[in-house]
Amino acid sequence: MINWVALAVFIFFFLLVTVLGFVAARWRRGNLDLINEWGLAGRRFGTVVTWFLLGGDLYTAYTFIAVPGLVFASGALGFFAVPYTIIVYPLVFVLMPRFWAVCKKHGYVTPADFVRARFGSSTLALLVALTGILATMPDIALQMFGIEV
Amino acid sequence: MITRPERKGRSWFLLLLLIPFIAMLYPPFYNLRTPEFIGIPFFYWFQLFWVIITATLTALVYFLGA
Repeated sequence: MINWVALAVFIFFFLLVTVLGFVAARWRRGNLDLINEWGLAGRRFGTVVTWFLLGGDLYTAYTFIAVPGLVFASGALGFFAVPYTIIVYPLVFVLMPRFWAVCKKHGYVTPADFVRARFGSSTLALLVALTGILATMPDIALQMFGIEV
Repeated sequence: MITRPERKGRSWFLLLLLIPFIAMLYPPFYNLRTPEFIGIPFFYWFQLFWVIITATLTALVYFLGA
């Protein structure tokens, strides 16, 4: 038995996202041979695009499956997510515009680039890069699991 | 945000952003059942209420200082 409403919603969003993807690929095309065009979209994201990007970062399987699951399993413990999100934004508000300006001025692409230039240590930069990759792993695993659910 | 010469005026407003840290990082402040709000225990609605307060504070700092 096919659920026609669910199928229609799925097809609608599948087509919408596909079309948007192809349109976006042509919109403000950059030279993808340059690392800051490929990785940072040439630093040309404005307020609105960044707003949607942050939304996409925050409202993921983590928010809709992992945190409610933790609240369901352990109760109030899962509410760590609320104060954590609340205090992250003032930090980002204070630190990131300055960080962004410095990185744009000197052409840094990753946090490791910044650390290497600021502290003059390739070892520290490598450690920062490895920490970033390692810390992303659980989140990727969580998102992959979330897709299945 | 570009560094401006009049940083003194801005740094005063930045202190407002410390308030959410004080309120949120010490759970005994809000680890209470009452007063409830439309049936929701204090512990839960207080944290959600701070989402609004912090957003307001951040907007205030942005419009006053940045």
